[in-house]
Amino acid sequence: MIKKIICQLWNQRRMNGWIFIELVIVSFFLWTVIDPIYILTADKLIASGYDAHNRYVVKIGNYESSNGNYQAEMNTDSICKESYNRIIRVVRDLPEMKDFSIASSASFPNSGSWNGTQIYNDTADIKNDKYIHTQYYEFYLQDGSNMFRTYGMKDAFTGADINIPADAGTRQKVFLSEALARALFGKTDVTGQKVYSHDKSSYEIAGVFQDYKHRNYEQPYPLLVWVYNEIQGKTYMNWRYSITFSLKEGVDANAFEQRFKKEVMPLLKAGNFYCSGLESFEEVSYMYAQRSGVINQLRLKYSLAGFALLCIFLGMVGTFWIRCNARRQEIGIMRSMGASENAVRNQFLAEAFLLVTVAFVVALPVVFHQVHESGFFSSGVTRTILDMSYWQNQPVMHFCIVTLMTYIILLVIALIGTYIPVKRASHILPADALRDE
Amino acid sequence: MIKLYLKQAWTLIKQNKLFTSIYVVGTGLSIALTMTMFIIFYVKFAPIYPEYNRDRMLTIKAMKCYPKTNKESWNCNGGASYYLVDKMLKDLPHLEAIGAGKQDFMGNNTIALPDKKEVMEVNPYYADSGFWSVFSFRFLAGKPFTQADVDADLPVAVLSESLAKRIFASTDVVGKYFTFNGKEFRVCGVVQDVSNATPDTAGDLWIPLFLHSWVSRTSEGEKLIGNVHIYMLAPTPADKEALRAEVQDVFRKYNLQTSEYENDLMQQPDDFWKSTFRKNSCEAPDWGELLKGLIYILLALLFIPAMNLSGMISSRMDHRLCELGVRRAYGATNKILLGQVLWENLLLTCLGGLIGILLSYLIVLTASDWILNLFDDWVNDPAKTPFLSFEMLFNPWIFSFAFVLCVLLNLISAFVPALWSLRHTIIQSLNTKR
Amino acid sequence: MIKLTGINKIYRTNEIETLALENVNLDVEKGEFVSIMGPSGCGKSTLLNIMGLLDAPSSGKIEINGTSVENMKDKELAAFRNKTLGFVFQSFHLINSLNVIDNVELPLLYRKMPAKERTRLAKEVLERVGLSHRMRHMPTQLSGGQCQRVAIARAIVGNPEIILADEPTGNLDSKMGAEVMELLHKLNKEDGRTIVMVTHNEEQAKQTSRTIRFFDGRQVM
Repeated sequence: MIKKIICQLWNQRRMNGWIFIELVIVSFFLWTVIDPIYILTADKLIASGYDAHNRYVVKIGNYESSNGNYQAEMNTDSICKESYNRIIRVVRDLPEMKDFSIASSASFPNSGSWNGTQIYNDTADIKNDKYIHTQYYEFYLQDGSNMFRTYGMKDAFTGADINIPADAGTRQKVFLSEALARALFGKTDVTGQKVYSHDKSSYEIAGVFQDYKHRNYEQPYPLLVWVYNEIQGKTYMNWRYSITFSLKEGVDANAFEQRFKKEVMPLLKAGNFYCSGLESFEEVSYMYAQRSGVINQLRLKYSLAGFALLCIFLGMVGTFWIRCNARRQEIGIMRSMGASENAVRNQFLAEAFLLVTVAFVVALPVVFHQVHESGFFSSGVTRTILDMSYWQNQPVMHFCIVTLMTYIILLVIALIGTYIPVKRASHILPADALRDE
Repeated sequence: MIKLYLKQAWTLIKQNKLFTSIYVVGTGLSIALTMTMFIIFYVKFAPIYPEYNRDRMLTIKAMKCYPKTNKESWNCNGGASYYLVDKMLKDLPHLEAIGAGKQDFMGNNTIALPDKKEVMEVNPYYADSGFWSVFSFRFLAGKPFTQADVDADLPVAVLSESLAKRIFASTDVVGKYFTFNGKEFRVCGVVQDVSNATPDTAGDLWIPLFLHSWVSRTSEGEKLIGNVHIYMLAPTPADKEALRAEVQDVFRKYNLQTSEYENDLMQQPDDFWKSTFRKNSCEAPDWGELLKGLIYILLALLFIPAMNLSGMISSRMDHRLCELGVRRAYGATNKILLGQVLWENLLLTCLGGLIGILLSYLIVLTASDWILNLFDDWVNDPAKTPFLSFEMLFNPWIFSFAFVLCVLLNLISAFVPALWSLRHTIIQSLNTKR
Repeated sequence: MIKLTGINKIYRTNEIETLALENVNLDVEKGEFVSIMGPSGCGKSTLLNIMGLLDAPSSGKIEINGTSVENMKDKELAAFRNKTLGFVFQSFHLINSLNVIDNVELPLLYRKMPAKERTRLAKEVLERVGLSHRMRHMPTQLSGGQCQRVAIARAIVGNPEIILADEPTGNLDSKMGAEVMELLHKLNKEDGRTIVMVTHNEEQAKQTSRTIRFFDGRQVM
């Protein structure tokens, strides 16, 4: 059967030539378009390590000296601290609030800022410059602020809330993500051990939490959390400290947002600070994805993939329509010899299948060469440590997955494109087909 | 002759509806997406209100400096110091005008009438007086603020037409007062609205530069990093190179006489179109790589459908071999026949082109809030959605490009199949069954 | 008028060589109406194609109107065909996407003639073949006989001295065939055009001034 079909295809090679070339080009093109879609989607699907639902960032602004509401006498460090604390307490005392957190402005998911540092597992490594690069978060325990609970971060072992020792702030204890613990110690069970910064100060590890993604479309990066007791007064401290909180179970988010705007925002005013609004974690995340061009990247790649597939669809419809017409007599003979409609249809579908498969196989070495030369799509984040348990980080697996995805999508679209004209053609009565000639 | 070709092509279109529709949809699709791409970059690069002088403009939008002893310990920002405008570049021989602008990315700017409590958010743009000579704003009333106003930090403002209408319900409002961020401002002019599609000039109101608390007249010691974008105008596009050399020369000399810091222009000043790619303040973009990416997409948009079209034309030529045979028997040469096929096909392609261009308008208009940023790897403020003006979509360039595309697509897709069908001898052609 | 000397035509496929014409010598005088007869596959159509410069012989000399065509390039051949030769085919070979008058104008199209002049000439010949009322019809709307008359109109519109007809009545019933033959005789007698016709029909052959018979690529008499 296959041999017969190959024969057919070869005999009609001039007619098949164009669609074949198109299939080869599209196989290559589609591969390069699906690759970024795969990476971005796979990275996005990795568990984020926090819960974005019903969580908010309070946006705080400050009146600049050029502003009419600016009060020069309020612009001292101590009054600023006092004012900021007053705002914090209003948030803390909201009846709908479950947990709240005071952290640095780089320390909530999808924040535009990103802090990084080098960390060592013992002092000898400092000399040898054997460091692990890690992202870090800072949060402040004052007024009962708890960043882990607010974000919904969980302990790596128990899966429960993370226990913060009472002396964590005073003795500058730190928390590590699993990835960081593994990178430093090769294991995650490291509570009580010490890590070192470049200046040789040591920090006791108070706990290890589940891997955490600062950004939605990126893989978890090693993360270190510093804990402090309280914030420092500074005139621009609204840029330095973020206030975030989560809602109690059962609170209607929409109603709350309305009430916040109307009733709470006017209260959040002290000194030169004021509240300019509320942003949910979901909004922050989407906003960052838009700003960083990820959404654009996906939009572009999806539309290019759609375009290429539509072309293939049209091409297959056109080619097989013409071919069915040209082979009406053949169809008639097959039908009169007792072939069922299905048998006729299947023969054409088998031809399409073979055409796509051969074209895809031809394109693969070119794809492979391209990947070999310029690598996979990179989202622009350089990583020192790759978590090999993710398929997208294993080159062979990665290549196979994208190849398989490309092949299946291409094949499905091509077969649909073939089915439409073939269905119509196989429907004719043998007598009609034979009379035509 | 050509009229006859087109007449025959029209008959063929009517006789083969399926062929025509697949062909036209295929062409339309290709042209729609290519045109969408073209419109995006047209709006970025071409003269659009109020940036009509883009072709003779040079920009400085980022600055980097480092200690002369340690190149790696650099410091950079998405803007330069106003000191550059004020003290260093003003008197260059090939400079017609120089202006500086600063947009506010932090938000939280509010505006109100003096007596009313109700406030609304606006996007202010901070500018010096040169800004108004570099860009070609259309004033509906009043005039721009002067350098004296800027130097004196006077609270005056130029309003956009829509903002003026929103707060005063009129555009004839020069001399009226409103409050901006709690301070009283006087209206000195009203201009036609500027779309966010031209982010270098867009705003709801324009106010004197130094009213922005981050902008200062002086430099930070020897460092020239700062917060303003600098726009320079050469008298003619041809003078741009001379102006660029002069700017770079000023920098070279400045760096020679500084003791501690070296200031790096990172290949600036940029041509305007190049500056639209400068999203990273700390290094020059890799234009070659960017261009390669765009050309890859462009080729895919043209060649993938062209293969489809070639396939269809080729099968149609098979059906018309006999006709070609007859025509040759009666004295047509291959050249004439090739011309005929291409002309006939151009009609189909142009039909597709027409659909394509309409489709591209549909795409651009329905996705107007993000489509212009589609190729950007960084978007400053996704919430600022642009409006598309008539001149961005309906202009000779867009239509000519669409037509050129049609011709190109036609050549790519019809040439080889036509040539192929002419390889047969007359006898072979005559004896083929249709 | 047409002078063929020592024409051979060999078709080569991968393994087989077929001799389609063997040493054909033929002279057709001006104003003659010559018919060529013979069984299928005897090479008569090949001969006609060679006379019409649609096909080149493997060897031999062709002289038309005193001009030797051996060394002509494609472009010159095309121009020569256009001016001197008119073709009528068994299956008409009208262009389905052109209407009757545009089909007739076809040979004039390749002469850089103004459109008005073309239409005038085409109308004239259509009148002669009695189809002036069908000028705007498409070929598919005509009967077989009408189609062949359009084809003849097309063959004579350029005023060629020679008309080559390949079984012009082969696809027609006898009544229509007679009409077409009548037309050809009229063209021969009234205009003095030289006509060479391939036919299967003994009756038709008898009416012509000379009949040449072919068998297996050879001229029999």
